[in-house]
Amino acid sequence: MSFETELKKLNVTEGCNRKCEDCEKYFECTSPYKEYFKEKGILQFIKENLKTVKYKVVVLGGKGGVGKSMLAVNLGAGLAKRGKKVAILDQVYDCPAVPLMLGVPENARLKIGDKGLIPYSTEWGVDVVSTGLVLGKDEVIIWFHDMKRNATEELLAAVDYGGLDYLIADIPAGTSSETVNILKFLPDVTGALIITVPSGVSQNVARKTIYITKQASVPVIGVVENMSDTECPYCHEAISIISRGAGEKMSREEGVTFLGRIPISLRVCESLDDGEPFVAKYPQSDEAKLMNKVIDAVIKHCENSQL
Amino acid sequence: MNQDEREVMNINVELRCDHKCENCERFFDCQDPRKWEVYKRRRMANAIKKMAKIKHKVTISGGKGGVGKSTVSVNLATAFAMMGKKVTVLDQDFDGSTIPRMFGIQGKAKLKYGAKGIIPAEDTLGLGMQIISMGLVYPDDVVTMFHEMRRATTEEFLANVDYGERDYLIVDLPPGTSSDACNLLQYIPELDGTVTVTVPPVVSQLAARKATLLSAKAGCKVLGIIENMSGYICGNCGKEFDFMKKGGGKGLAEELGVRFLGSLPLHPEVAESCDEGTPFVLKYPENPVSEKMREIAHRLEEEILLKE
Repeated sequence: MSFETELKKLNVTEGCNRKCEDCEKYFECTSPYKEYFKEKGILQFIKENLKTVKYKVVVLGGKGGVGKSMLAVNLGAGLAKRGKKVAILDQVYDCPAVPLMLGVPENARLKIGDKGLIPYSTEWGVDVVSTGLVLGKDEVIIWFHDMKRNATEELLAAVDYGGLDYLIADIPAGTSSETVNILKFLPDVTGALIITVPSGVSQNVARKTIYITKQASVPVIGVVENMSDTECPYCHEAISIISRGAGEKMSREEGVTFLGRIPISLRVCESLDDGEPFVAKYPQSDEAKLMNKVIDAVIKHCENSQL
Repeated sequence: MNQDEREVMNINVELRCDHKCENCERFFDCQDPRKWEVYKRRRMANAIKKMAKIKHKVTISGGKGGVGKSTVSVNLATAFAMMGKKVTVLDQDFDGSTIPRMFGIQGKAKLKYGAKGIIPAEDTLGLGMQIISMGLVYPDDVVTMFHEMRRATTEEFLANVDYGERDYLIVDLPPGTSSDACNLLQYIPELDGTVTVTVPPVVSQLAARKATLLSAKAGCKVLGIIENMSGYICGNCGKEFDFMKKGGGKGLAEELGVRFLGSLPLHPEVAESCDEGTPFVLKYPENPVSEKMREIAHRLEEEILLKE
């Protein structure tokens, strides 16, 4: 890879203390010095620890409540159903929902072994690492940036993932702390899945996540539009609960693949409440069929990227 | 026991304590009474001065993302403004601010600096609302700010804005219980209380619960819980049906012993008005959702005035 880029501004700024690991402007910085960051400290441990992980996929949304965790859980369960070894790394520290969505019992806790933390194995064949498996439901986390960074480093460097085909990182809303951390500390991300909802007002945020993956040189696998059209159970008129089609329009404008729409339905909601991913529970439903298309796209992207 | 006295649960001196309370993750856990000096330090004295003429301050939190915090903030503010109040909306969501779009001023208005600090943008609806948002500074740029920058921005928005005389300040918080939520609860002087917005599924209540507990931890009154996206009213036949299992919000309110302010169903006109940039309470006052929004505004006002 060549490091030649257009010099946008002089690299020396007053604020630069050469601590790239803790810099907000990391992806904007054009200084070649930042490449050294990859060779020092914790990143070496992370690389060593993740040597046995084949593909790393991040699920991003930018906006909250668009279904990032839902997508991560179903992607995980779907891949596991096809015989892959999968783990989900839940980056949502404040309010982790992944354990609930996979039906992990409330009192389940992570254990620590000789080689580090041991991910919790769920009945769906997906391993989970989450702060939900460390804290009780009444414990409120207040972590500022440094603590979140430390947690991300820890969960990447000190967890005994074993041999994995896919590591899926579920990233919370926003484009700051957690997003930057994972894109910085997870080496060689294979691809990013972007999820959005159909309303126009939400697209600004989704666009920003696409920009940030570009800045971080992570390829985008595609965009999924969640909470899409359904029909009225009384008059069977096609309805769009939160507007329509803006996700597809946005992905066309940004030049990324549009993977399809997941209709909003009681079934999706109930499957999450019950902790049973719908790809495994209702494999014949429309939602699961679409999810399988997404999984095909992920597998195709990952396997091609290795060549 | 005297009201100011509390049982000492642990010794306050910690190895790590550098007495920079304004930047402490454990501010709300800390028992050291000196922490209140934080209000006298740095810019907090300014915030108290600048916000002195705001009668009531309410935050809209949710813990979880995408539950409709911004939609509720915008429409609640509009409902209050339609009742003749002077309202300011402060958008604390720096990364993905949607408030300017919902008011239809995205890309059209900008924040300005005046002699007395930042001058808030005005709405174009003729209701005299003020809007302060990151989206009025950086409309299209990606914002990557870590904790320190966020805190500085929160301070700037609280201590260096020319608010003037207002009846209500409505603060829209981003998801999560860390940086932004914590900064605001720590810095805002004399908050009346917080409102938690949630959605019906059981799986969403964990986040709502944590957000509510955070407010309690910060010593704020929890004014109530709103359940958004509670059913859908078909635009064609007018019948209501559920697309998510109902009642999670009410259950949570009962469990935590706070008031349930009401539920808001979805309607095609609601989504349309958000995208288009006019709050639905103003654009479609006859809509059943607008009716419910106004009821919630009245209940909330009751709850706020109860304190006095």
